[in-house]
Amino acid sequence: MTTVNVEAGSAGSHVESDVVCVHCPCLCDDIDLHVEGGRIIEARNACAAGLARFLDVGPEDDPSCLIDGRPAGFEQAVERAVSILAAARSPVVLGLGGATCEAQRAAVALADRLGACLDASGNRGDDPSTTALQAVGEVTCTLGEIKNRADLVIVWGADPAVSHPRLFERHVLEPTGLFVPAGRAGRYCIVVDDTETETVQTAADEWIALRPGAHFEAIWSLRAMLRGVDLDPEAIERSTGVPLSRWLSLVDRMKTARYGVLLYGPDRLDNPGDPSVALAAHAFVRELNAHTRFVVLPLGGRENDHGASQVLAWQTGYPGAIHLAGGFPRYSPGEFTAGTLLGRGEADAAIVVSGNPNECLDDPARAGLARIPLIVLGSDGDKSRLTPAVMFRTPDLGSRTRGTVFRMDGVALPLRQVLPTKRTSTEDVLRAIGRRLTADAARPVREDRPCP
Amino acid sequence: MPLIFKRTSAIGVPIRLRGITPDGLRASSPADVARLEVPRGNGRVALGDVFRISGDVSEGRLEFEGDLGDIHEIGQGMTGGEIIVRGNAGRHAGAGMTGGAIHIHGDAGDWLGCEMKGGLIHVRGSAGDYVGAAYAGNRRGMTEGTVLIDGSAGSHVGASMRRGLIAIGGDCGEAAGLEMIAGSILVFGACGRAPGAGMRRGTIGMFGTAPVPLLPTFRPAGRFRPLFLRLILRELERLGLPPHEGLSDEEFLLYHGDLVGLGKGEVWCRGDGGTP
Repeated sequence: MTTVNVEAGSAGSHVESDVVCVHCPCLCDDIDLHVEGGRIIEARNACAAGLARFLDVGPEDDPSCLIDGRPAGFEQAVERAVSILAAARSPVVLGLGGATCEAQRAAVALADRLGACLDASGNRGDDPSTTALQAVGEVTCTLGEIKNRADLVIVWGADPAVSHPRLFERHVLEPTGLFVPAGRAGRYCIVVDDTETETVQTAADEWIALRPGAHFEAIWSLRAMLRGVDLDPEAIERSTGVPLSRWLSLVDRMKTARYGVLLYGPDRLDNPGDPSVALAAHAFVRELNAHTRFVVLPLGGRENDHGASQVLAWQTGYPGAIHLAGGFPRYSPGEFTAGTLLGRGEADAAIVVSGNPNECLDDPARAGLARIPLIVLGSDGDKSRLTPAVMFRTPDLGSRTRGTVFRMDGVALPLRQVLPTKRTSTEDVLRAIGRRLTADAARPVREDRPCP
Repeated sequence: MPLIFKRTSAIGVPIRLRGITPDGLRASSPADVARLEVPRGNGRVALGDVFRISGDVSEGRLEFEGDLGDIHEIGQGMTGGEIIVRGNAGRHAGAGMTGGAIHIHGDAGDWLGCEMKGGLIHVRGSAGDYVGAAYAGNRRGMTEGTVLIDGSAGSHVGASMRRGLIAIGGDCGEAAGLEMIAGSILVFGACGRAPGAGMRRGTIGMFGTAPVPLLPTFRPAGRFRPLFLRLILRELERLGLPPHEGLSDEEFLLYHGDLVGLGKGEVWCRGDGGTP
């Protein structure tokens, strides 16, 4: 990675190359940022959404700490946070996706200190792809492997053209790969969806238009077809909206692919209570490997959500929906999921760590969050429309923070600080609260070693 | 005389009653029990602060009075005796129990009788999701015992169950018997999407009159009048489930599946059943 001065002699104007963009979990690491006068004025290679995010990084003019909406000093803010947390009998730590792995680790340590409920992804701690991973496993790969090998790409119930704008361009469809020298011409893309998404319009060679909501029934039937089970054509068409012959030719194409990949959108496909599409997809892909190499990759999450499940699993043994009361982690998706816990009114204080919970919480959970004292850490506190008792404004993740983030395929990437900051980092705020809690309670706790 | 727990105060943050079972409290006086502390959020609370406790436990019976909807793990892991709840019960009631009986005269929360290994649970009201199912990450749900629910139940009833009987007087939600290994689930009302998905063996009886939204991976295997249904219904009636007149003379459509799995399971559909 290099730093290039574009205008010799003009201080503060330079290009930072190969910067990681944290807009979506693709974490594109080829962005060239043009920095001038302490602001980013151009982000070469970034998608429109990534560019907007970089250009949106404003000066840190707002006060760093607020108590009940009024500016306050850091020490007072920590003191107020500690007084809320010390009195809480059922605190919850949520968010985490918008923080680095180092800050997430500090959040785990604080949750452990508090005996709190800890959940990474707001409402989706019962992340269906995680549940599927536990139940049937996951035949997976890195994005680089897809780029170099995949000749068949199935996109199921996801719209990566919108949610992961550069996924096709950088990894999945467009690039030439070691074993796909023809690039896009060497790959075939089939979209299975019940709506005509932008991916259908811009990327698909073929669209299989499903009966609305029949994702589970369709994948389940494909599993039977793969086993060579004779199915009733009428029943298949009635339940999936697609003729059996079309499904059979899809199965044939999958079996004869050299290297296939199934990308699916767990956030859109799975509703709590429904039979899990993720479970069906993972089981189907596992069975496909009796015929050819096939992999499955969930297209879920935002920013560093994947890092959060990695850190939580590393530190506690579980990827989310964890309760640390009693001194050891207990895991219960659906019960200790932050969204359901808040919706049932079982939390009495919350720490929102660098994430906008309004984006991932449902209405009852948002109402639950509004009833309890909140401690919010985030760079975009004003956008979250929360009314925190204590607000810590932290440095922007994509430009003013250094640390580690995880891409959607589990590859760790270093995050570089390209703009200076005068704010205290998320990690340091969490550690300061933890230290103060410990000092107040005068009880010995495990001191975390800093992350190497 | 049973040991009676009369709910006296609201608690805000839920508590867990793990270990508060007839066998666990044997030879304890009401005053001893009142001093026992149970987990509440990140702290603990004495039972005497939540309940007024009277009676004695010599008969091996515990009786809870009042709404216990926010009190979880009632009878969790119990090995014998009887627990009666005169009101609602929270989550995980009877989970992992190996013997004895729990009678809930109200509604029960999620994970009722999860991974139970024996005994009886009878809910007079309705129950939540994951009745008799396996906990996340575990391979087996209930392996023995009986769960009766007079009202309806939520989704994933008997998911991954290995043995035992679940009977639901009303409707049940989606994915009943998901990946079940063996055992019996009887539903006397309507059922949600994809019953029996991935089932290997076992029996699911769908006795409601509405069509059953079976997956296309179940294959019709004819009509029949199961004689042994009379025995099951008589037993259910003896255990206290409201009777279902005329059902034993009904003819059922039999389906085999799930063909993505072992395919040795059977689903009985009453009347106009079958694929959607």
